[in-house]
Amino acid sequence: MKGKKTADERSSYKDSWRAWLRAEIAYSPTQARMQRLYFGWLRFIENPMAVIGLAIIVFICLVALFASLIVPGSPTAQELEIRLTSPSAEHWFGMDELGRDVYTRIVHGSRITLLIVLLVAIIAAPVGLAVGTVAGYFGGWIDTILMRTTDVFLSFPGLVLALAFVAALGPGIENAIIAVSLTAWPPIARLARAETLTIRNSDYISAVRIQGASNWRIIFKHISPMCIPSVVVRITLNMAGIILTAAGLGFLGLGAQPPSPEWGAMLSSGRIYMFESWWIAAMPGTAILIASLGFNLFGDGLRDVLDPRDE
Amino acid sequence: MAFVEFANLSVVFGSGDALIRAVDNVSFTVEEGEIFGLVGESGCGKSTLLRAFCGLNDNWTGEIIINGTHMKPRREREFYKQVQMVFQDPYASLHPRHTVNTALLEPIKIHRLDKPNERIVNALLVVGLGPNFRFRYPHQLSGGQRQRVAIARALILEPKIILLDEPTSALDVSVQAEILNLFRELHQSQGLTYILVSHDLSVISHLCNRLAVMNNGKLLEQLDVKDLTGNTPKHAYTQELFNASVGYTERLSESAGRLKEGHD
Amino acid sequence: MASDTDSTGNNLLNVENLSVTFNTHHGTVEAVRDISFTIGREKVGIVGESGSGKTVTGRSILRLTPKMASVTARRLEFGGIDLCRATERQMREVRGKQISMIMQDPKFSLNPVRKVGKQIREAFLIHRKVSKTEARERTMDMLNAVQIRDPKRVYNLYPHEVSGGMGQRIMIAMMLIPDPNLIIADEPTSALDVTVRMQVLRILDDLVSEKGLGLMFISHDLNLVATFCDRVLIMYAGRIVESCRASELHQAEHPYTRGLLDSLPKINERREVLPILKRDPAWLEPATAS
Repeated sequence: MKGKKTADERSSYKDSWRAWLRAEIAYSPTQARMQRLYFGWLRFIENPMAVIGLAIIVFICLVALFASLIVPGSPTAQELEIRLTSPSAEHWFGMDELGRDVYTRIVHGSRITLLIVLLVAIIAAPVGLAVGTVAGYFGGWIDTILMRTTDVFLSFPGLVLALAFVAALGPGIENAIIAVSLTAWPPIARLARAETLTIRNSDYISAVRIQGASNWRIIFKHISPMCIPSVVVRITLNMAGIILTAAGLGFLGLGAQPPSPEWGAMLSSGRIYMFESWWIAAMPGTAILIASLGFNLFGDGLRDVLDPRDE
Repeated sequence: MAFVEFANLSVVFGSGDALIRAVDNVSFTVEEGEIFGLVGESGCGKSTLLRAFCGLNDNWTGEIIINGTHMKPRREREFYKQVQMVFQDPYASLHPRHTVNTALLEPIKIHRLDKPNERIVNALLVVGLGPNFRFRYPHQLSGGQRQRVAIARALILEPKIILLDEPTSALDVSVQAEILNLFRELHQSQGLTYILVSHDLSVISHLCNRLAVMNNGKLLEQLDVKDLTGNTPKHAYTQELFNASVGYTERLSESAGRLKEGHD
Repeated sequence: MASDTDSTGNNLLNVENLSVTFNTHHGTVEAVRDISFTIGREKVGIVGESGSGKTVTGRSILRLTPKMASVTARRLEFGGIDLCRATERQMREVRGKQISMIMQDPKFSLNPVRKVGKQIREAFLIHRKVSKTEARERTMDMLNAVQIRDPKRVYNLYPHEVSGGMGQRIMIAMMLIPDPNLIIADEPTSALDVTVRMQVLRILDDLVSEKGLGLMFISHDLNLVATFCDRVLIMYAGRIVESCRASELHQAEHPYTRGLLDSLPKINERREVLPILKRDPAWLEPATAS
């Protein structure tokens, strides 16, 4: 067990890890990849803002993960006698209009926010990447069809488009996620296409073509990996927008349905009480702000590290 | 019968006013086991010709005949086991996100060859790189090392013909010598045929026995390497190239460049 | 290292014990190590392979090195100005006006969205306070001086509309118009075709002789430098390992120079195997004798 090692043994264990990462020669694909990540990490942490962003994201993740441990109560439990009380020692963020502890709701609401953000990213990024790389690589009418479709999606303001889909599909968190994903993939497709256009004439792509690689192999194994860094950065920077769009839907009552502690919905219901009981709206609003900020700072830092042109 | 034959090969881009004859009715042959040089400056069509030959470019007209078989614009997979290419810029011809191992494994996987490990280790040995290089990324390699990896990659499919597109112009002088020696050695040990494209007459004359001079898409003349230095009459442009490669001299440079940039 | 004085005995640039160190993640890199040389009104070639420090040397004189580089020198003096202790403002006076830099590829050193004539004119106006018309006149003169036969037409072209050789001549015009005393040329002809190269070099040669300028010609092309320049400095791993007259290069003594010369394929001397340069770790140490 690690705990039973002496201080010397523990520090030499750490040293051997560091030696493995800093070794001149890599002896396996894993070691090569780990080394690359390690040096990327070193570059990332040079940027204090990026580290702050990462810290915020990690913090929110931890809060979401351990929500039930942090706040023992239920986010929907009501204590109507003390409704609308201001922040105090027992209820840090005060009580809302239905006597629910705002702090508990914020903490549980982080799960919903993270869920939305994660699912949207998982749906939108691959779709955008696929559409963009295929359009960019093949060109011609494939490019035209795919890009004009993308343009149609892009020409709608995000919230309006999401609204239209939710209106058609019905309110609820799953439909909200689908709706927001549909607004998030077009910019990714544009980006991936632009990158593909630059890359497809490179010598290393020509080299694999004259090895007899099929088009799909080239797109999947050779072109996409080059687009991934910018797509990752872009989607991270878009996460702030995703959170806000989801919050907007929630604000309009079209996202997560009550009594779910989704931050946007909390913001909406707190609106009427804004002047007397400011905390009901201000707390979720601040939470949204901090989450968006975290993703923005992290995304900026990622961009500095992942720019393939550096290499 | 020649091993490789180009007959009336033309590659045309654009149309109407913007028509460019990148390769204009070029014909020549290459014997098996020969190192044939193609010399010219930028825009003369030599690289376009190579690309048409190896299947990167399919809008050519004319005939490309390899070992008696007439080539169609779309190549079959088997073709790529016969002809491979080494590109000019070692900094651009390796995928930046793939290790050396992945780069060498790719052709093996595409053609479903057996014994991948052995082939990779062997290919690296043949080009003078040890197994330590297997899991490096291109940015961890020097220019010469990258070019060696590119050569190993070209050799993995055991081709008979290798196209060399300015393979040493991006390399340092000392590294160039090593790579040229490597090419010579591989040529002898593996019985390869090379078509070497370069603007550098000294590289061409070092490796090749015969060469052709191109300018503006046209093939100006074919000659033996020993005719370069001898007194045999040459096309004025060939003489120009020769003079320029000797070095800078005030008198001769007055006429230089006029043939290339006639439209000043 | 013996400091060869130039033909007139008057040195424009004096460099003593110049060192440039880069601080990176992977450790400290000594790009330039303790080099000393002078340049007078002559053409001095600095030859080396990649990593020799030749480009960093050129840039450190004009203080154009990246932030992570630290430049130290016992003496870095140009025409009486101490380039080590000069303020950024003083450096801006030097750059372009007294020392110009010509870079390798006009594709990357000319602004793609401005007409070339305007760029040359601007180069002039930055350093001289004259009217725009006069600046335009001077630009036309300069375009003529670099053998551009139709200056009025070329004035209005964009960089992508001119060929490589013409672009480089435009670059030369732009760098010479403020009448500098020293030109630092970093691989000025490496991106050009061989025949065009000779033309551009002749123009550079004529201008340098006419105006009595100093020229620092940085290149990897040993042969070119040996035939074009007056003196040659060979750099290896950040040090100057050889310094001699260009005409005497082929009798060079340092094993690195000899190794380089031998490993070049020669057009009239066919050898089966080119001798490979064997790097002696002793070359990394400072020279014991000068």
